[in-house]
Amino acid sequence: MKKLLPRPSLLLGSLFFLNAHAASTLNVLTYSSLLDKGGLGEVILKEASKKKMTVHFTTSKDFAGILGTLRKLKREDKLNSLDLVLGINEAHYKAALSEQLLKEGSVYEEASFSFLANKELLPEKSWPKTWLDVKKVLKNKILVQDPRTSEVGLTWLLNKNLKLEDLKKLPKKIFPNWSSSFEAFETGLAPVIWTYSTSAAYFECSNDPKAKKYANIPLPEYPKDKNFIAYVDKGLAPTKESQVFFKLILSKEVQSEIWQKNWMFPALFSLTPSSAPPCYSKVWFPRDAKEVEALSSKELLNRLDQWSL
Amino acid sequence: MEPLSPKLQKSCERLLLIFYASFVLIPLGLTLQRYLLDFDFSLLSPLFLWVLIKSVFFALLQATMSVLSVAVFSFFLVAYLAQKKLSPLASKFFAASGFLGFSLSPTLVTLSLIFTLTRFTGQSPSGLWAIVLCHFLMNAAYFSSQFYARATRFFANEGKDLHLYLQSLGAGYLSLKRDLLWPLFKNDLKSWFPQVFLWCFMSFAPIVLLSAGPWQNTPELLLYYSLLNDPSGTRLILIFILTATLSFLLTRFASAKSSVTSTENFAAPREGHPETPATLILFITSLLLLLPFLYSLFSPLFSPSHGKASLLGSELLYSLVPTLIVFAFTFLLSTLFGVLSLLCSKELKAISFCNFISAPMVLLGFFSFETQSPFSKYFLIALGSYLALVPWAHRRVRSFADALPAENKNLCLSLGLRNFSYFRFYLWPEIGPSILLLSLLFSLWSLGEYTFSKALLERNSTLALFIEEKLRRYQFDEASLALSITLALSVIVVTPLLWKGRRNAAL
Repeated sequence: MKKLLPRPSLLLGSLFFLNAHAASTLNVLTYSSLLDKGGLGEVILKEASKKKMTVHFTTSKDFAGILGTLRKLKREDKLNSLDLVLGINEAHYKAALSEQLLKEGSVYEEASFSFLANKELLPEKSWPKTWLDVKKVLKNKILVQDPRTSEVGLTWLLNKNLKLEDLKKLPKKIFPNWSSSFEAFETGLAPVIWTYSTSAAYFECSNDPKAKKYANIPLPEYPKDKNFIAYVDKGLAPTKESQVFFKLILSKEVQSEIWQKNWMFPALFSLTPSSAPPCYSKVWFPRDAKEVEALSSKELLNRLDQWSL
Repeated sequence: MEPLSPKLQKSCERLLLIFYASFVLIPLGLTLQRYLLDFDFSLLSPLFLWVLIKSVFFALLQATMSVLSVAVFSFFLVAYLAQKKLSPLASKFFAASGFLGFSLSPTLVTLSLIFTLTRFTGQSPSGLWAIVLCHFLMNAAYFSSQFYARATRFFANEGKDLHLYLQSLGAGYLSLKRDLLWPLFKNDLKSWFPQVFLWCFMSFAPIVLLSAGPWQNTPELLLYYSLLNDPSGTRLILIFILTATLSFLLTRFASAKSSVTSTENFAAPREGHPETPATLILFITSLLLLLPFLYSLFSPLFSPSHGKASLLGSELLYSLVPTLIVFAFTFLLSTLFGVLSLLCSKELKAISFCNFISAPMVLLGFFSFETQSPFSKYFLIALGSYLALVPWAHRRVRSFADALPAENKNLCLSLGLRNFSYFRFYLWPEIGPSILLLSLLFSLWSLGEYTFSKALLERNSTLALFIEEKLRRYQFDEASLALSITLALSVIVVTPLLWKGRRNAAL
């Protein structure tokens, strides 16, 4: 007994006998809605299995976006547990590069953002025509996502068309993630949601009767953003499997599915609805969308502090 | 001579200390040390410091308002009821309803409140008033029933003559309340309100689920958020120091002032018929305080078709199984460490001292053990949430053990009971049921475990997370069934604790 007592490592070791995945598994960090049923995650897994790859997706938690998860892992010296990141947006990608969390990656999809309105709750005639109108018409009528934990929410915070105080005052409710905000929107909680401009295309392309109910509110200069795939910076060259997965995401097989599986604009086809499936043509998209503000890691932190104040 | 050998006692003490140090103190120390090495002052902007100060202010505000609401409610209710002849059944129902709100996991109370209010009003509750209401639901009935018990005992004993004397001097209704009840209430305020204040100040799940936006932060929440999001440990260290200092000071203050005891006997006047209006008021008050739980428990009955369909779906079952595993692990761990505490020779001050270490603080060091295996994760959740309670549990078990009469020990010795036989034939039959009830209470809280589950598991992985997600998405049928199942499990677990004698033993 005495000999055993001073050895907590034995105790710890015995607790984690079931730990970790097989070495050959590719560990990919992504956002949770990518893995929603019928989403792009299923396509990727199917294509990966054709190449005899085992992919394990880890999703970021509600309290931490992809960048937060990377930072946490780095603080704990566990960045090695990941191989790739899929779906980090530009602001976070740049911060992750400067913090040496990621290596240079590549854009695999793009998105513009807009207000999606429920026409039954907010008839077209009362829609705002300018960003000044937004402050008057949409106060307490918008569902948004928390910029600290959602990349869609971050574009809300980095939207240069509104002042910070308006960005904080306008929402009716703030959700930790996009999925829950969108489902709450569909129940009629609020007439407007801040979302991907392609959300409207989802209803059109799936021949959903709700397509008549939901539409993007046309406004000038909505923000747009890019999503990246990147290798995790482990100080080593990427493995062969990681490279195959990287190429797989940029391949025509996966890219062509992004339109209707992830409801984004695939990078291979550029941010133009002209090459999109025909159902996209029935939807209004912001053609003059502007890139979100480029911020350094500290500036971003500062902006999030302002949001929390 | 002691019936338990000093060698055995020392081994148990060492095991407890090593265990607590291995999973709480050493990981926490190592993590803080690592973060200190990467300290970057440039991350501590004045704006961030202002966020931090504001979070302290908000925590103080919501805790003060919560405590005041409980105090005002308790005083006026008891002032009205203290000398009324009440139906014993109504009094018992009131005490039981208070105990339910008090013993349920804060997450479950919050989710029940969100579910009920959203169903009734169509709006999800959020903001300061919702947080205060939630804390009120957790504490009001329990503490007013405590105060009521003391007041009835007072008026049945020493206060009886004093009351008659003051009445003979012509004292009016208000002056009687002021002169007799107020001093009693002030005494109660001093003894248990610091503890309620501490609980509200360190509250976690209600703040996460009910805050109106990211600007309604508390230091606990900021710490948790930073654990998962900060670019370096710099901010984390500062928030940790602030949170630990505040909770240390408040815990010391509360334990110096507070003497939260279990329910005392009611001593309501027995002669004559119960007064109908007063009994009715007590009954309605109890029902109102139970409303969120009763409504959440029985709501699937109002939409049975949806409920049955969802139960068969794998999503709910997928979250039920981990919850039950965490429940079982918590029960086993709590019983095991209860027995170890029992076998120690004395209270271990090093462990009791750490009662200011809250769940997010344990989590800070705990990430070092993070693992991919789901089974290990469930164990970690049970372990982590229990570790935050270890100082309190250890103290409680030691108080049971230290209360055993010395002459019984001598009797056991004279009967030849030593070590295992002493434990089996005397110690366990005397204290075992209390340890098991304490474990049951911790397991009950584990049904709504939130802090560790949220950090370690995917969405929907436990019943509490499943309900939270469904409520956020406004999917009420599925939320209703999951909430009902969780509450039904809680009621099953809480039932053995509802008998006063047993409750006294556990608390």
